[in-house]
Amino acid sequence: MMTSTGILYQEYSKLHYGRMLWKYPDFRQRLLRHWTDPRHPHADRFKEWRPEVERILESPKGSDEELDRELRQRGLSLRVVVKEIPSVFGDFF
Amino acid sequence: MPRRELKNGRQVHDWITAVARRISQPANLTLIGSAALLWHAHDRGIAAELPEASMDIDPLTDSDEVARICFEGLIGSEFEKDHGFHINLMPDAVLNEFPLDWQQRAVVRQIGLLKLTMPSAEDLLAPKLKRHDPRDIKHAEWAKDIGLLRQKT
Repeated sequence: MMTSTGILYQEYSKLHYGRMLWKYPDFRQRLLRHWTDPRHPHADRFKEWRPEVERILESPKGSDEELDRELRQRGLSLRVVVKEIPSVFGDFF
Repeated sequence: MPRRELKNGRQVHDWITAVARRISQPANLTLIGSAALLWHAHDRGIAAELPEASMDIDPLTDSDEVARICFEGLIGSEFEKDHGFHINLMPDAVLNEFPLDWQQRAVVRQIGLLKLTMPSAEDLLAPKLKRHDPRDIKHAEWAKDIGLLRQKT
């Protein structure tokens, strides 16, 4: 139950819909506010991973294989970075 | 803890209707999972409730507008507090788990600007039965018992 790059669908959903809505400044700001909110349990971790997460959210649909190859050259993978996209949850989004 | 109060097709139908009313551009919406089974039951006038209620509706969409609406209903949201279930967006890649020709058997409805696609009950159960989850097996038996299936699974 995973994509061709080995990512569980549930995880991949964060990239799929994150990419879709990242292009809207209002939504992007809303996500960033949520992910950096002290109430978000992964806020500190997001600070550490933010450049990589933002980069894949800015990437076009269909670029997964290319991104994965590039990330692997740096000891990462698309699977690893997708896991670092924080979830959206709770009543403070 | 996520609420688990999605048990009848009316709840799914009402959510789809609410989404259709809010959009201003044509949009595609496909549902998978137990919520889609409930929708089929409701669509056929069957009032049976799921043996174990579900916690979410699993939609796929190509629409920015619909995706935004779905984000309002994610786990822990006010929507969940009000409705007793949440929205769990799924990527279109999940349809790779369905039989190749699932679209030929799907039910398609136009609701205002919203084009709703519901895979057949048989196709909805195909990925569920691969997981061997006891709840999924119960849902498959329920679908069979209430007559949603055209053939034995």
